[in-house]
Amino acid sequence: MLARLVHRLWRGLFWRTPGAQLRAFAETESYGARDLAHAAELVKDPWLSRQLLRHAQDEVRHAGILEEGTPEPAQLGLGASVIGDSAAETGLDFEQLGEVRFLAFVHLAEKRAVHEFQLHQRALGADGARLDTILNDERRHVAWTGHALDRLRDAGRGAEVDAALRALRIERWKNAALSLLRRLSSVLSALTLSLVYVLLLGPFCLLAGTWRAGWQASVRAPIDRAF
Amino acid sequence: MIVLGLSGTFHDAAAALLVDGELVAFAQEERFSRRKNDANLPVRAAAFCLRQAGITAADLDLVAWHEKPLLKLERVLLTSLRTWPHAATSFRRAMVSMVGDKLWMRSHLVNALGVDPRRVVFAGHHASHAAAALGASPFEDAAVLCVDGVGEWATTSTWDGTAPLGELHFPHSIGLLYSVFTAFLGFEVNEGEYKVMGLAAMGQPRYREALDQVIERHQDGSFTLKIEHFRFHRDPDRAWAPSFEAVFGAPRPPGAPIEERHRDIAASIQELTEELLLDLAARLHARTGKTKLCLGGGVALNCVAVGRILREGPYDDVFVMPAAGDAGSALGAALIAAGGSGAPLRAPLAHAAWGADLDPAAVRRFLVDGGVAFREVADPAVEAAERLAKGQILGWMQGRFEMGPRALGQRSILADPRNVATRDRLNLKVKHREAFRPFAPSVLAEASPWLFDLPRGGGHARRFMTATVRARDPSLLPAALHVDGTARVQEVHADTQPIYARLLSEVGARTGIPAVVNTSFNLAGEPMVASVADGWSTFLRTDIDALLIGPFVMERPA
Repeated sequence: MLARLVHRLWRGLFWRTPGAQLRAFAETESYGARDLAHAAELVKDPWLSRQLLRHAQDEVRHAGILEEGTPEPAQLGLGASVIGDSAAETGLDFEQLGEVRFLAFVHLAEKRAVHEFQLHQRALGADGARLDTILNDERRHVAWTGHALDRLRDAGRGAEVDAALRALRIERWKNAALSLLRRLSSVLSALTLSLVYVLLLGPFCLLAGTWRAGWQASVRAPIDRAF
Repeated sequence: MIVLGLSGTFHDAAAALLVDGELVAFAQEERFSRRKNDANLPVRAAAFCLRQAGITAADLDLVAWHEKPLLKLERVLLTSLRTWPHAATSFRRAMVSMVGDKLWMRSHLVNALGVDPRRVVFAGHHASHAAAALGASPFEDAAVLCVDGVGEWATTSTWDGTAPLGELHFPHSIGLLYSVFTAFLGFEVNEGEYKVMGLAAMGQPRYREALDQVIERHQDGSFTLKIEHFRFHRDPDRAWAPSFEAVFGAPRPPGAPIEERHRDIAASIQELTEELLLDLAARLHARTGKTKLCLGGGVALNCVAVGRILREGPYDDVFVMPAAGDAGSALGAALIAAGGSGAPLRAPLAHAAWGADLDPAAVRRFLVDGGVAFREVADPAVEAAERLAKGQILGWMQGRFEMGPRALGQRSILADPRNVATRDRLNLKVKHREAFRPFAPSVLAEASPWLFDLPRGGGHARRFMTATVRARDPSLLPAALHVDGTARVQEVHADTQPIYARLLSEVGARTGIPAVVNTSFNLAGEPMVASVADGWSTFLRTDIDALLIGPFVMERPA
């Protein structure tokens, strides 16, 4: 149980096996495709819509390349997903971020992806050849998103673009710090509440009664203004 | 009066809007957020409901939440005390969740919607289930049985129409017991129960007697779990005690091969669940004299059990609303609030298509702007029928998306039911799920009696795919049947689903069987698709041959 707790706390820092890492990349690409397609539906600019959908198609193709020959997450003992719930759940919400921030995010993410894929290509050796196509596409993604941001600058939104890029670069570190603080506060609150439960609530358990078996009357009103 | 009903915070957040007693819109949050079983406050679903009605939150008379947070806190606290000192972890997490968040639901709703706090009301959880079950049914009057994991305290509740009769309390819960076995068999709770139901048909109930070691049934139809064998009530990470494993063996790790023992355990818990529901239903009939039964709560989605109640129970007819789980309680809460000091209102459902529609102009713009190759056809039903008859697997998106966990021809993947290879391809290459999972058929309502052995009544349940029946000749549609020759059939009516009914008719003209395999249009782990973008990106990520969105057809790119 302690090992499970430690793993949960430091999950992101663990180096995955090659199979798990490729599967993680595949999942990220697949969810990215979903989010890009959703954004394409919402943007007004036909050129932007086309770029987003083309990008989404690339992501789908990448997921297929990465998944080929790699074990299913369940076979890796990782449940249904390698990257866990967070990416699948939160994804990249165009409506929340807005066009500028969304494009800035994708631009920076693709830059990081190029770097990460290069690292993994070196680590994978002969197996890394499958990442060639992906790397070419990712470089193209960096280019088109950069061009999209330049278009926004040309349209007089340069300050907005620069602010978004700046904020996102800082946000990674800010989020990491917040995550650490959240984990620390979680540990503190866990300790505090455990002490409350064991030391303070103990005597009240005598008043709590036992489980009620059998049919009970529904005494409460179906609807209340009080909560 | 305009009432918005909402549910969420634990799973299946949803919103339902009633305008002067009429249902105008219903949607689950997951369809918009793209997070499966999204439990967060359904702000997107609520926004859709308001848009659909052409109103704003300022126009709302009441906002009804589907449960009472304080009552839930009472149960959580008393449970922690009754299991002291073993429930430290459970207590900690519950306090953070409840006191830190869920208790302040009025504030959350006021902040999210911008409504006057005096307009926010709270309906009981099981009362919401019951109101939805009866209110959505075609019955003026009926007995109502609600069975779920747990609401505030109630896990099972019985009703004579809108009058409550009695309830069973936590931890004695059919839903939680089923979930324990779901986890034991290596599936995800609140998602894997369907898998256990599917697996059950492949096993023998050899552990049925062993189950009597963990549950005691009483003369009055109630039951108690022998709590010493369980841990779910005091440990959020462990559902059963070591003594449970002494009876049933070691749990199956997720992803591990499924063995005969697992299938037999699934068959056993399924049989017990059916017995319990049948018994409860029969006693309710004896007490109320009602000839119709409405089922609510998540356990009502156990369509095998519903099929058995129809065949063996004393009722002339049984109804289960398509969103019988917590999502549907949003509608129930709205019906209760709209009823004011009287009985809950009724909003009989003729169909399940209450979600967001597809605007052909917007779909076209998406496809053209995105450079997606497509054709526009005059009659999507004929186009689809021709492809299906050739053995293609299609993505099918028409009209407003449906409520509930089942695709009902609005956001479906369709295939030819005559070919078993189709089923295997669907599981492996399209849905990426376990090979044992069965698929279900949609059939033209008129054809159902000669394709299936139908019980007395049940037509309303079969409209929404909530009861199983047995095929008369399994060789006619093998890909749409389970291993035991049963099917969770959807009967399609031309008056409520004209395009889908015509598709089935055209399929029948070409193949002789007006039926298709109908499965939900989504990838494993994702919610059903809602918008054109969802459909298009899902289409690309599966092995589907073609996608039909309204009149637009897309082929798989080379």
